[in-house]
Amino acid sequence: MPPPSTEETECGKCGMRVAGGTRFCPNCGARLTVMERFDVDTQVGPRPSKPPPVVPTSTPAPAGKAGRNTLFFGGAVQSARAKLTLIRGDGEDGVSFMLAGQEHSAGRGECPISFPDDPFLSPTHANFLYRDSQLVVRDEQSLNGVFVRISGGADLASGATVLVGEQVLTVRPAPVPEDVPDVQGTYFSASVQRPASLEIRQNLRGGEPGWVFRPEGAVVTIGREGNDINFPEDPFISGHHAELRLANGVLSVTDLGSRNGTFIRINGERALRHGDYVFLGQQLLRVEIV
Amino acid sequence: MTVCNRCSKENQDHYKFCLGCGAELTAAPKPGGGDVGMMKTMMADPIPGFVPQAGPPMGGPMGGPMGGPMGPGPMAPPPMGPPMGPGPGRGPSAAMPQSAPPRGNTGAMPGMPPSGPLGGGMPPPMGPPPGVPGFSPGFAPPPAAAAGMRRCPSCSSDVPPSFRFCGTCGFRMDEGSAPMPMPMPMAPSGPAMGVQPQRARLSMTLIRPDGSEGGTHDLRPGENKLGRSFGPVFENDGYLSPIHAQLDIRGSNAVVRDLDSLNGVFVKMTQEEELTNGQILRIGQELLRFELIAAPEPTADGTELMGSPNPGYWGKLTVIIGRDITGAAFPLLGDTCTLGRERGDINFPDDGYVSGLHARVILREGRVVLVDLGSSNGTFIKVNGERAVGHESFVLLGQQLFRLNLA
Repeated sequence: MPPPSTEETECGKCGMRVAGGTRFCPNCGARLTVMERFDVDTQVGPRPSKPPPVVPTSTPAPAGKAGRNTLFFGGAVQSARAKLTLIRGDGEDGVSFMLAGQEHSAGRGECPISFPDDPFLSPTHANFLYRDSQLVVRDEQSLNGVFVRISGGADLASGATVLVGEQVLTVRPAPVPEDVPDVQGTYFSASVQRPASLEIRQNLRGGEPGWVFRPEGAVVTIGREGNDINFPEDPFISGHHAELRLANGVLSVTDLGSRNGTFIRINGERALRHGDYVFLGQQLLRVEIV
Repeated sequence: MTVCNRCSKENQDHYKFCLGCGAELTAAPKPGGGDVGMMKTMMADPIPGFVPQAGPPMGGPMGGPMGGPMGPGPMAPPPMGPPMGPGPGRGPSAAMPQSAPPRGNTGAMPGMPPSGPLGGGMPPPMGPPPGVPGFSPGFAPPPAAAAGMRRCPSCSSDVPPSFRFCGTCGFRMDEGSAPMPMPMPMAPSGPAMGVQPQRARLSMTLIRPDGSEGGTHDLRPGENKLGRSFGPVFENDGYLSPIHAQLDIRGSNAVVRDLDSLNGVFVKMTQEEELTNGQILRIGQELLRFELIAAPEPTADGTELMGSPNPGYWGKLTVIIGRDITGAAFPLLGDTCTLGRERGDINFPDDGYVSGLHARVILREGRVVLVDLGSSNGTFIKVNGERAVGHESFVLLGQQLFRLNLA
């Protein structure tokens, strides 16, 4: 893993000299770079340039072909530039929601996009809004978050949550315990040390953590069988579903061509493109830019 | 595959010791290295990089905080001395130069990072002990030690005459000690088999990882403080707090009390134990915490927490890897869950101190019970506050195992 030439930095936690460009200390797992690099939505595809602040415009330029716009009843006529289509359990398309306004909240409560029977949705869970002609989904500080399907691979922040099949997994570089004595000079007597690259934590429904895996290898495959981590009972996981990787301190996830895809919980908000899939609670929505 | 030339069992190539009989796989069997059933789990050591001790390993570096529990358990054959050894070198520290003074009284701590002050601690090759007092009957006495061996007053290891410090515990030897075995507070006895030393007084006896007895610590009726500040048998164990525990003796009964020590006090189970939420236990080199998985609680706004479906996990065992750090966790499903090295529901395949089937967690009528399955090294329960102990109870303090003599 030859580092890309930049100057070394020193880990603020353990003091190890670390090659430039490394995000986490390979020795102790401490984050080396500034938060800014991580707290954004984990990249999926091209990262949107910094969006300008919302400019209230009365007549935003339609993005689609004029003939396909659905006109909105009422005074402020706006064109729907995108719609969300619910994917039913059988994989067929369900109801569609035209995103004809500026903002469209979604949740279990009284929202334009409402799923009153989904207990995993907060009353106001997310908001689909346009920002400079770009459709954006924002997590309205929901309990369970907003998940967006990745296309190919994506970097992950430490502690990011991914959805693989039915499994809600939180991933971070495996923490390394310090072996330092307490104030009385006594050392902590723990379990035998095992090398580990990643810590993968299964979050059970209801919030309790279930399995915690600490695989040694820096590449960890997940699926139904024959992988480093297997969930044989999960009907929604593919045989070889996804791969987690820690390379040069950078954590990433790659979908291995799974049938149902790999989703990442977004942090704050992120831009959506045509064909993206968004999970809100138990609702899977496909984004269509019209 | 490497075929053991003693018992013909096929072993994986990286094994240094036969999984079946414990014989070293790379060298000819050692004289006197007899097979002992209780040693089996000690022998399996699939950790790469493990460096076996040269010579008949002796002198008791423990396998770890847990190496100790090699004591003669209820189900185990009597302890024996010489044919021990893979324990000490385990873990990443194994390949390191073994020169650093040991942190602990009993030497190498496997599993400690190589950089730690404990990295060393492996004793130099030594002959078997010249008749360690306390060898149980039924075992051939080990070959006589080389002439001039001295006995470490702290841990009772044999120390070659040229050594200024005990290779096992680091005790300073050059303070006018006699050149011949100096059986500490123990009754002197030759290598004669079947001689049980008299122990007419209250004491606690260090049990070395090979099952033989080390030094003793005298006790008195009433209150006894235990810890690094209270005697040579304790003072080199870096895992003992200075004031670690208290043992209150009333006749042949006693109560051991954890005095807010860092690592706590563990007692070897002799019967099933009820587990309550948060109970900490040890098997092999694993420090585990038992926890119940609670039913989901509704949130303020009625939203349920999303997550993986729970197929019925009602509890879990979490490996504690540092003071405030946990490692792997294993949910518990169904009425029983067996812990072991190979054949359990939850396995620690790289922990040679865990028996094939070691212990079992049982959900029975709404109670959770832990049972030791006749493991070689025992299952240890952390004392929460205080706990009654009796004659011949095994107590784990720091990284040392003691047997109480209260009769």
